[in-house]
Amino acid sequence: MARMKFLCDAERCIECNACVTACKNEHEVPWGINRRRVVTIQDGKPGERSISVACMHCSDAPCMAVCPVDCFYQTEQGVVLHSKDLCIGCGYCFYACPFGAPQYPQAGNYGSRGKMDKCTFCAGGPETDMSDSEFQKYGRNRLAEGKLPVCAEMCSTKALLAGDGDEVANIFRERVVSRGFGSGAWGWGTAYQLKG
Amino acid sequence: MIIRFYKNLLIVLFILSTFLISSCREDEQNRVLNYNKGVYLGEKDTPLTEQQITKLRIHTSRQKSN
Amino acid sequence: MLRKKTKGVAIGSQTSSFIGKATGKVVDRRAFLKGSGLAIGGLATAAALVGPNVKSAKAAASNSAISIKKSVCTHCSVGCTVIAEVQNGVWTGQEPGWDSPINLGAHCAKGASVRETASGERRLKYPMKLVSGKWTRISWDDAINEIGDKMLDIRKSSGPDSVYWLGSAKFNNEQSYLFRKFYAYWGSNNGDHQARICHSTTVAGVANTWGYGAMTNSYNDIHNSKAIFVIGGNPAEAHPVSLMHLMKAKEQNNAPLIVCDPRFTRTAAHADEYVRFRPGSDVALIWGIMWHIFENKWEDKEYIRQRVYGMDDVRAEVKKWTPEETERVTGVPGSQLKRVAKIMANNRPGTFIWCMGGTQHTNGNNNTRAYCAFQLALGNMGTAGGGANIFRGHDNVQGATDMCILSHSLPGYYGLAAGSWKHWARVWEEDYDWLKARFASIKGKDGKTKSLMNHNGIPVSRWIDGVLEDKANIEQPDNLRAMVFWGHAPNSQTRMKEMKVAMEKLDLMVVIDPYPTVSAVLSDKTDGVYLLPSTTQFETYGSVTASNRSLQWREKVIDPSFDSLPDHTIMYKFAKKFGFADRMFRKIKINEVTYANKGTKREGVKTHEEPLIEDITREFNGGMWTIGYTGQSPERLKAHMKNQHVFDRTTLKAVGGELDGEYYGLPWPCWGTADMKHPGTPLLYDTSKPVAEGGLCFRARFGVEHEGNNLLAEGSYPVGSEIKDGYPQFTMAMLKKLGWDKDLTAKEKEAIDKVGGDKANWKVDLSGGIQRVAIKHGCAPFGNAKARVKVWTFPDPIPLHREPLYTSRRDLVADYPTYSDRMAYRLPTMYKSIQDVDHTAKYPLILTSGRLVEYEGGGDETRSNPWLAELQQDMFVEISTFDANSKGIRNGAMVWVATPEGARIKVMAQVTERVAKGVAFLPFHFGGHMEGKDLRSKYPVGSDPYVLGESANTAFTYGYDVVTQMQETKCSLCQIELA
Repeated sequence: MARMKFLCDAERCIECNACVTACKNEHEVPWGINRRRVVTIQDGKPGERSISVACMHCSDAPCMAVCPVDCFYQTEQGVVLHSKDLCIGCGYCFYACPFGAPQYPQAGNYGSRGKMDKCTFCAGGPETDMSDSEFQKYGRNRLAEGKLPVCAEMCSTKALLAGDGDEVANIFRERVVSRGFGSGAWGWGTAYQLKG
Repeated sequence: MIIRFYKNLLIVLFILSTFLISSCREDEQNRVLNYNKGVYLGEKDTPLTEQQITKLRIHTSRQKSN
Repeated sequence: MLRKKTKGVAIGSQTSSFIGKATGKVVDRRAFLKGSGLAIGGLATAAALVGPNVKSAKAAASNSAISIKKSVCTHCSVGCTVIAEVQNGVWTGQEPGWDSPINLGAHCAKGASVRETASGERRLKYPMKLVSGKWTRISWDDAINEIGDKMLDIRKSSGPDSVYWLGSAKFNNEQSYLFRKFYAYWGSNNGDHQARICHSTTVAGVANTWGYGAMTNSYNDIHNSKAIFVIGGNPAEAHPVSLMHLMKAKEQNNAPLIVCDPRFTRTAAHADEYVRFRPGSDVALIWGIMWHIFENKWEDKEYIRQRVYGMDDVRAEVKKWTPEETERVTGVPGSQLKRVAKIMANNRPGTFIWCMGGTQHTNGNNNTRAYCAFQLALGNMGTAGGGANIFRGHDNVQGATDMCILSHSLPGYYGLAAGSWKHWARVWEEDYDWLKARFASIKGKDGKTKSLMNHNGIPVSRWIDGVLEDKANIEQPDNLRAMVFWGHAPNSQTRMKEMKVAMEKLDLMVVIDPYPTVSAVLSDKTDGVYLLPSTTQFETYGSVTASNRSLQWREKVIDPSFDSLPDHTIMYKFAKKFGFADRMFRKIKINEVTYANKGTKREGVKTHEEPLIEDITREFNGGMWTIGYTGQSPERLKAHMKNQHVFDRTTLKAVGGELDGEYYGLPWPCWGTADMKHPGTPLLYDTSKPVAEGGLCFRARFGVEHEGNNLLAEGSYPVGSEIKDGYPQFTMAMLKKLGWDKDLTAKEKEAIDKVGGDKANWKVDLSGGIQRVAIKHGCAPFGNAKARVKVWTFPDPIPLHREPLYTSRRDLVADYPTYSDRMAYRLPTMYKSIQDVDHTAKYPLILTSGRLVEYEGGGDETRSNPWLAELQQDMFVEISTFDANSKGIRNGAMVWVATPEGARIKVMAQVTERVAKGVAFLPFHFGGHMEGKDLRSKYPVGSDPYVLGESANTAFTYGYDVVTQMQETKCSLCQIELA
């Protein structure tokens, strides 16, 4: 099986925040932590595009590389997970990540960073699959039930795709073909007034 | 004097023994004590079964949306 | 990379996976944990958070069995299936409902968060009463008794019309029908619901054009569209999952998406052509586009000849809307409108979508009829991919509207004439004279006594005038003295400053809702307010009608949370208190139901009398012949929900299996009795199919001729029709003339004789025989006529542009004035006297309003959901960069938005290019702040929403549609200043 990947089709994303909310629902993520966020550029202007971003589960993850206590590991499917037991909350992975995936809950009166929390591709963590302690620390483990991340499964326009990278690419390719040549370039239709 | 020497030795041995007794055994401490740079030393994860992977593939194709 | 990589594979896991393979089961089950790491109140600082390792787990063993319940989201009218995983009576997880042809598993933020709505912390937990300004807990029995006594008191001294029963678009169909029946039995037409302030102008305009006032095609049918025209609608935020269907058309048909909106919305961001126009100039815009269509002869002449009446009058009006005049009024250049016209003309069939942007105006009915005229001119009606796809609002506003929780009709749009009441009295097996005696009478202007039974009641948009207006000016015996907000927020109606005063004047106010709503805090009342907790739709079951007229059956997910009760249980209690329960529920079984939830906050086990939902379904199946709610029996609907996967995702038709040929949800009209097994009508007015298979033609509702012109269709008829031309609606006499009465069974003939014999028509025949026989011969029971673009019974027979009451264009008021002041729905209503005053000096900016994807309606329910509340924490006003810089307002600054009727609200400024120069936008979902004052402390403890804010409708001003009294919330005037 190829690596697990996310792909957010910016042509379809309408910033509905279903992915953000589904993730919070599934994992009971507390206020202040958003494992997934929708980023919008050119807000309110022609060319406005949105894209849903969470941990990208990089093949060569910077967070894994810089962690001083090596609390990260990668599963066979390419999902980057970490152990909250080992994590010391130093925040270095947060520096290293180009996507801002690591999040830290505020704990205690002095704003100290707690254990790092991030999107797990709904694959839980090192604890026993689907146990109480896994849920408490990492949220649900959907992959162990054969289910894909809930953010992608509940996306309102099927903009956010998740799963085997090859298959996700196939789905996206089909869309590109339907949209016509050059649709990858945003604004193609507007620029060339092709429609109508 | 010999008695003092043996008394000091006893004290030193006593202190030394407390150190020896109190030194940590990694498996008793419930945390990693000796890091090995670049190696994940936490609890191991459960890999996915063939069954789960097949199911995941079906789920992925469902995202085609009509 | 400079590191050793290891795969985190446990050695022991190989054993467990072997076990997994051997037994074929997954070893563990999910745990249920109550997340308690949630901060409360003032959450912007995200203080007091609990780390992910430290959550207090409550109840439920991790290996309890999971039962799956299928329900439907309670937010918008798309009707997404919600799959709930329930363990030990607790809702622990949500899964996507892949099988549903409507949403295919997708949700928006609100749909993905419904688990919290059903059992959230902020729910109203038990009945409460305001005593000297403090919320005090009381029992259900005490509450019903006290409220009932007070209401009977008011009834005796002022008459039944002094109690206002405001119902909900969130009732399911059975509760909606029951509620309509309830206030009929109470003896008043003073009942209404959200449709009045949402799509009432659509229903009136569209129904008066071609017979039925509902979405003609479906969300799925948009897959067939070759062009998509959206005006005054922002489905990317209001109906996000519908975008999945629009995108399919965009991608696979290369369908151009045209969006017309004063604001560059999220939907506009995906448009191929964006038209920015001035709020309130819809008719001018549409006529401006049609000018190009008629000039270039792009209209479908044959279609018009066969199926449309009055287009020549429209042509005459459209001729005035030259590109220059259109630009003068709307601000849109002619070149762009020509392009739009060309796109729609070249890409047929095109679908036409609209929402509140078009409906919420003083001439809303003109707007909606102009939209219809547009589609008729292009021949886009009654065809796959075309249609007037009206996206309704709340989850069951379509159902509640069909059940007519309205002040001007009876279920099925029968109206309030004596004949209609007699029909329903027959269905209810009620003594007509007894029913009539329940109503009060007044003396008309001609001195004759008239029963208020046959006269429109006060609509929700005007209830405050029912309280505040001098009683001599109202067409009922006395003012409104008691107000019941049943599943309806107050901050969705305008003029909230006056509303506060009206609330304070009321003798009694009752809020029946899962959440306290802004009603609990808006007024300064210290007594006379009751809060009764009702359940959400996840804690009960029944049918719900989506915007595309499909009915879906919800299963009960969990028992009522806390001490809340389902709406129909509460209605029964009131009916008993008022003494008419035996009559009202004579055909409905009452069950003793015990709600026992393990592991939740219920205190003890309680037993209540609950009316049986299925009996209610059967009762309305037996009476709603006009719109075909007769074939959707509970059994058929449940079968559809069980077999969602067999329905085609574009046509919604079942392929193979027991349900082969039926359309998902049996979209109405589903003619005849359930035994007839009509498959439902997926596309209205589609003549390409026989009526028996879901085809239809335009309804003959307006007579057979007008001013000598033939109103019946000419040469157009559904496939297989034995009458190959137009024909009037079916009566027994007509059947006899055609010789088709021979096909009636003896039982049917007997039933027809009971309701007038020859005079009986397809609407009152309780056996369904007339409908069955007409359809047998390929004819639509309601006749086959032309659609009329000229509605001679309306103030403007041909839709005209009229300036909004509060307009920034004083130069246009002389050319396009509003209506004269008049009486409407029992109340004096102002138009001209408001428009005559020039406010532009002090209030130069145009103010408009709309929705956000994270919240819904009045907002208390969604703002009490932490997952949604976190995404929109502040009320704001969108202001253009030009205006902001001219006023020294920076992004994020607090500003006062002041409107001409004396209100001012304090909100945060969002400086953006979404709105044009001179236009400002307010989202309407916030409440809990009033003109700068924070009302949080007035909420019952523990039930205040996480996020509070100013209500847009505190600022919004007077203005009501001339036909339906819809409020004008899309164009007013304002001034914005730094706070």
